[in-house]
Amino acid sequence: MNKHIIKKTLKQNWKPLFWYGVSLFSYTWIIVSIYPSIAKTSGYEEVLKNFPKEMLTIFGIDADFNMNFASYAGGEYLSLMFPLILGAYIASFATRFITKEIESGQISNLLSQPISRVSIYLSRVVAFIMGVCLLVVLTFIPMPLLSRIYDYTIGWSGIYKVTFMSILFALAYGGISFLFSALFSDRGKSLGISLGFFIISYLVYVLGSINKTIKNYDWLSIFKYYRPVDALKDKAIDQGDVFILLAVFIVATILGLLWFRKRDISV
Amino acid sequence: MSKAVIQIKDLKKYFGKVKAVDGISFNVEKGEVFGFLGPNGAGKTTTIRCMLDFIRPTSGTITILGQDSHTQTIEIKKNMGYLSGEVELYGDMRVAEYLNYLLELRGEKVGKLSVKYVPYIKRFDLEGSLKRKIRNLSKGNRQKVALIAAIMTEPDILILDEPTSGLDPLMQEEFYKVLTEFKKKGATVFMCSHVLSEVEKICDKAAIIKEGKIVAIEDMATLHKKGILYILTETKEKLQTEVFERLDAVTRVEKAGDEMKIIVKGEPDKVIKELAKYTVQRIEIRHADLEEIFLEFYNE
Repeated sequence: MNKHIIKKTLKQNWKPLFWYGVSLFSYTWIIVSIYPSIAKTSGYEEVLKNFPKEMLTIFGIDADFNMNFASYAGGEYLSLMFPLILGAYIASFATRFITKEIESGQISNLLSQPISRVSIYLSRVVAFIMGVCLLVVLTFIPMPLLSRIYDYTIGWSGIYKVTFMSILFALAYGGISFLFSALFSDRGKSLGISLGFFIISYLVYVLGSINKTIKNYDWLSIFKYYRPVDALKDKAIDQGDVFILLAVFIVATILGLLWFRKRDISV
Repeated sequence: MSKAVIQIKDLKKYFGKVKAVDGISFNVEKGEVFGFLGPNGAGKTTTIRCMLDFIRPTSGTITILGQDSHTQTIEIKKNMGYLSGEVELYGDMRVAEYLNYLLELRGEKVGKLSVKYVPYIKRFDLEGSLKRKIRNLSKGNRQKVALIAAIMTEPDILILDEPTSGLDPLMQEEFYKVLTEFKKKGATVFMCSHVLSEVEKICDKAAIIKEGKIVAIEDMATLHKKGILYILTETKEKLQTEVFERLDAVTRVEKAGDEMKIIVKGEPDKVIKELAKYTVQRIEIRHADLEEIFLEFYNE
């Protein structure tokens, strides 16, 4: 790893990081601020309970739905919008700092220096981890603090768990995005495939709750191992989920690294 | 013992069925300025990419400073400066920031400016651009920045792909001076260029690559001496071109107005003896310049 590459990558990426951070923090604030009025609204719970179970699953809501912040945030934010925003950032980052640099030829600036490809790749991954951790922290850590403004309490324990699981989920998808970035020399292709993987992964997981055939394959989806609502409810973290998300990140990163080290880079 | 700084042996690089480089071998000696000539797609840049370990050879070996270009590429690059043929710098960085960054990557400690590049900044007239973003520079100035990036650590080996592309004549002259200084210090320069007059002017040796194969490799003096002769002659009798064309050394015979142009590759003795059978009214014998040599090789 090279600290100068990490520093420069973060500097080059500060604008998207800033705007994604602002978006996620703002979304969090909106969710936290709206919750008290939603909780007071009679009938909201009833309306949701009348929805088909499969429909609720899409939004991460249990059949035994009880109105609390975790269920509300899960339905409104954590099951769809948050992963989507985070996924867009991850795919964009990985493809920008690997494939786009290959496509534009800028990577020759680094490859012509006495630095190994392993160092270049891992430095980008480390910069990615730092950025994505910041985004996840900006999403969850303000929740208990902001809730005090609106006279209710969100427990820290659930926040730590959901932050941890969200970081693991981001790392797993990040590893895969980096792998696709290392495979191709065309940013459009690697970005398309990376986002395509993310969307298909989501659809397989969601449709698995409706269709039994698809259900047989939902273990292939990284969304199956990411249960933000359960974590936020302070339920025990499934060790299997942790292991699988971590394993996906490590295996995908190693595969991407090996390919990046081996491949021809015609710049 | 060979003083070869760069040794390429039977290098092949195939992209599927395309033979970009097809079994080339040559050495570049220490302190030599080596020109690598060829049209687009001949295999020049592919060779450079293999030397820099950007791409891996299908077969063959490249040894630079006695080290393998793939397994010891990091060690080699500590002593190497490289200028890409298609300069793509980080546009969002300022000039000083970019040069500092490259120095930092080489383990140098730098402040706001470094003595490594400041003298070159002055020589290449970039003092006013140090704080400017690279994307706002003209093509010529970006080329200068890339050139400075390649030479600022005063490496033992310089690999330059079209180094004067986009430079004005004054800056080209400055660049030639810099190369001469490097040569005096014992540095070795390997450069690709389309500007044949430039190669003729600054290179000690040149190789010509055609369709992935080396078709000529000579030092500049020899290339001129035993290269190609143009014999322009006017004879009283009609010249029997087919007789000349049958001679081994004659590449071809062309009619040029009232004159005949005999293109000779190698010893001209037999041609002169054959010409002596005619009443020669006018004769001019000259060595082909590099451009003509280059074109001859490509017309074969």
